[in-house]
Amino acid sequence: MDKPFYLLAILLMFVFCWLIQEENQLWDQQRQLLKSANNKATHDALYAASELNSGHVRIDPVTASNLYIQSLQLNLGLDHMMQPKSGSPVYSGVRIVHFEIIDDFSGRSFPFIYENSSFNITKFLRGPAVVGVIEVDTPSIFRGSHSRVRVPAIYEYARAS
Amino acid sequence: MAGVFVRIAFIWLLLFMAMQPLISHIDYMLYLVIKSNAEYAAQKAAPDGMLTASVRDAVIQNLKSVGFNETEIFISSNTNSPLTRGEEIIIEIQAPRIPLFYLNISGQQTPTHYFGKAYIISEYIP
Repeated sequence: MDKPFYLLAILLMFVFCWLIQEENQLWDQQRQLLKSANNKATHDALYAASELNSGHVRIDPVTASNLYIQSLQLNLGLDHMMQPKSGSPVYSGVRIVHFEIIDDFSGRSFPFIYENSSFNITKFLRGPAVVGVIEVDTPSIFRGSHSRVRVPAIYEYARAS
Repeated sequence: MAGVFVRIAFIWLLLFMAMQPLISHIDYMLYLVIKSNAEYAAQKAAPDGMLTASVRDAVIQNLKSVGFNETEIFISSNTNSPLTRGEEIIIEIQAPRIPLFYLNISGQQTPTHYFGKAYIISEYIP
């Protein structure tokens, strides 16, 4: 009589393990997609750099922000409200939680160690840079509040030392 | 007789339980390989303003090393000549996808290809 329960327990264990695996894979997949998109978006935002011939780099915040958003929309398949379009690889809207421009007019002298304790970022910056942090919610069964994926990216104009 | 039937049915279930997580994991890894190679190609294409032959070959070698057939990999770009700084480069990679399910009970059509697409702004200054 206990055999059906034994088989059912095995089946439930299998389903449980499979779901955990799928959820972990999905989380990692989402993180890698976001990281790639954020890398390209910070790169594209640096196109707003001007005054290069004068030996200084000035990054226009409005243009850089627009390019950053546009790049995220193109690479992640988002609409103008940053919500996923049909066929997008992300499952919820993307939130830009931090966007910062550090150029030659920011009152910093390069190189220096950039630290942002709010987002746990520490990086040695050798030149003007764009910092972007985005986050997204992923579908979750087991992770609970850990289903949020938050990804930072920094792109810098590194000067030859 | 009934016992034999149950055992035969249970073997299929055991096979499914053993194989499906493996297939799922391989599919997930290959998906990431295609996406990360599209990302790699886009970042490499930005300084040159286009997808160069050397980067294309490097991507094909990367994909071949994880089991893709070279003749079934399609890599395309929106340009064959260098785009100047500020213009948009698009890289697309397509490769055949492994079956998603060991036993496709529902009979529904599953995706047949992995697809990676990346946009990046050119850095090329002639």
